Amino acid sequence: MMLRCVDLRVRLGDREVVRGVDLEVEAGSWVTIIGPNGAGKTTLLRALLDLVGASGHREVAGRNLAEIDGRERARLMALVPQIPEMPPAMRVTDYLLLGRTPHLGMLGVESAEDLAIVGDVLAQLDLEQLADRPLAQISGGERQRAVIGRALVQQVQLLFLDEPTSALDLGHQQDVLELIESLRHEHGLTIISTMHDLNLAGDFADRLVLLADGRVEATGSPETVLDPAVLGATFGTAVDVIEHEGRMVVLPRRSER
Amino acid sequence: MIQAERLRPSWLIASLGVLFGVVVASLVIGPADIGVRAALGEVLDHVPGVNVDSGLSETNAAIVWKLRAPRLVLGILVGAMLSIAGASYQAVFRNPLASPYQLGAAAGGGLGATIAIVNGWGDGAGFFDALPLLAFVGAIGAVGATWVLSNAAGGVRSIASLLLAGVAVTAFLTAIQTFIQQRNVDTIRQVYSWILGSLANSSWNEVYLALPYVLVMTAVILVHRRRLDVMSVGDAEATTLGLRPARVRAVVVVAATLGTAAAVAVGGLIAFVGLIVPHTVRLVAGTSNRVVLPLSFIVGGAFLAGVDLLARSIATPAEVPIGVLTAAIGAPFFIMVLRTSRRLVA
Ligand SMILES: Nc1ncnc2c1ncn2[C@@H]1O[C@H](COP(=O)(O)OP(=O)(O)O)[C@@H](O)[C@H]1O
Ligand SMILES: [Mg+2]
Repeated sequence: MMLRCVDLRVRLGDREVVRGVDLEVEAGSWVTIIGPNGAGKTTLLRALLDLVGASGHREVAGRNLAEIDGRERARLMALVPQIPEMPPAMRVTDYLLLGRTPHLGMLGVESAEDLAIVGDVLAQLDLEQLADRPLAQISGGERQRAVIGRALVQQVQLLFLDEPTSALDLGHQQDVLELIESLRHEHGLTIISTMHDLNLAGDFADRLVLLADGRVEATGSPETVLDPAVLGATFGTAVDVIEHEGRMVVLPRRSER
Repeated sequence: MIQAERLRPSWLIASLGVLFGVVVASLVIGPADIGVRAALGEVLDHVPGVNVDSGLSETNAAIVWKLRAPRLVLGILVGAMLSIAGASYQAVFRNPLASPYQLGAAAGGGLGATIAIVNGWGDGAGFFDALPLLAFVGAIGAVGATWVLSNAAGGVRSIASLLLAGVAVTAFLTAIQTFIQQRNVDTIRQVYSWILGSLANSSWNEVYLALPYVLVMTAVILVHRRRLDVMSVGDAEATTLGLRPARVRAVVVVAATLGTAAAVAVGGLIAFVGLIVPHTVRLVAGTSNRVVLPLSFIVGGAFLAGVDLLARSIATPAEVPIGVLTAAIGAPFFIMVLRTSRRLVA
């Protein structure tokens, strides 16, 4: 088991936003959290990473999260935030190098090995021509690859992605998800992502977790979770789910006029 | 081959060259006619283990070693410290206009100095003189008060609450300082002269007072230079990269503030240096703190020593307050930087 949480709860202000979530994620799998806006998907990710005060039990790679210090956590898990902060004047190379932070010593000097790791990731993500470009001067799709690159450079086992496709067009959405899928197999990564596009979620995840109002409403394979009755109730609109060449397609039903 | 952004040797050599130029000019220029060789010889003669006959008369030797040299060194130390502290604050608060003065260091130092002056404690010279000591205590106390107030209000984790607390503390301390000053009009000139900053009448004693702080605090800041680059992605992401942002911020703010307090204690309130120098370095040499911090230190030292040379030369035998000059140079320069720089605005 790569990650486990029991009765995870988060209060923000006077509201409980994550309300008793139990989750088990197997090593090497891809789990996607779906749910309406404001369901608590981002907050759940932040709680799993201990970025927000939460109660409940959390385990990573069989160890209690509370007993793992910050540097070691950063060698186990990386986050690709929905809206990353990207210092405009920083070069792509230096941005990727930030991922080596938890591996460096006291003075923060990168070794030849650290630089080589960044070189490999730049090549793998097709970012080599952009290596010396400031972050302000690359496109949305390239930025997303740079953030994923930084996470890869961290050499973690568990990769969290918050809405990795929300800022991208159709083609780039597909590219990024296929990239993540290939990286998962190549590096043996475990992926936990959030996504509000149900079709993309169903296409790429092994398992879906449907979150509504801070609670898990359904969990399981895309076939079981993408159920018209369940989705209709949580999203508050009638949907049809059709199967097309072995893939699940969710179609909201238009209201009568 | 992949390379991290780093301080290019050419920039290091160029900045050290400028510093050396300012050193020579400051030792040589002045009412007493002293040549380059003689001045450098006199300084070298004081290096332990070196014996040089500068050929200077006793008076001129004293002018070089007892007047010009300590003032020069103090100018370098104060300028270097204010600059690297400014660069640190800007990095740690991710705010291009941040400076230690915003957390109350200037107002606290000003209050401490005013108390010393109106009571006739100390004359601004000497290791244990009341004036620099009270200015030092005032600056530290003010930043400490800001810290406590901010913690009570919303935690130092919140940058906004910290800066707002700084505004409140500054306003409060400035009010007290003005009140004391107005009740003691006979010393108002002295108070103003200190507030506007001055390196005149400085001796090796002030250098000894400031030197340990400048060296130790600069070392602490430089050790954190890469962590400060990591902080530029914000606290949450920095945490996922294995950093403890609140701790880095605390350590760097304390170091920059202690260093600033020492600089203020011996040099008065010299404005703008902590803004002009780091921004110039960023525009010219790069934005990584690995570049900005060390270069700000060297360039800041050269800049302030150079301005001080100007302050004592342009209206001889009178002195122009150095803070007036840095502000006069700094303000238009700063507007120019803001106008021409896309990087800053971005
Ligand atoms: N700092 C905060 N304080 C109070 N409520 C918050 C805060 N951040 C988010 N929320 C609320 O928590 C709920 C869940 O937010 P979020 O996890 O971002 O949802 P999702 O990612 O599923 O869209 C929302 O109702 C949101 O308004
Ligand atoms: Mg979200």
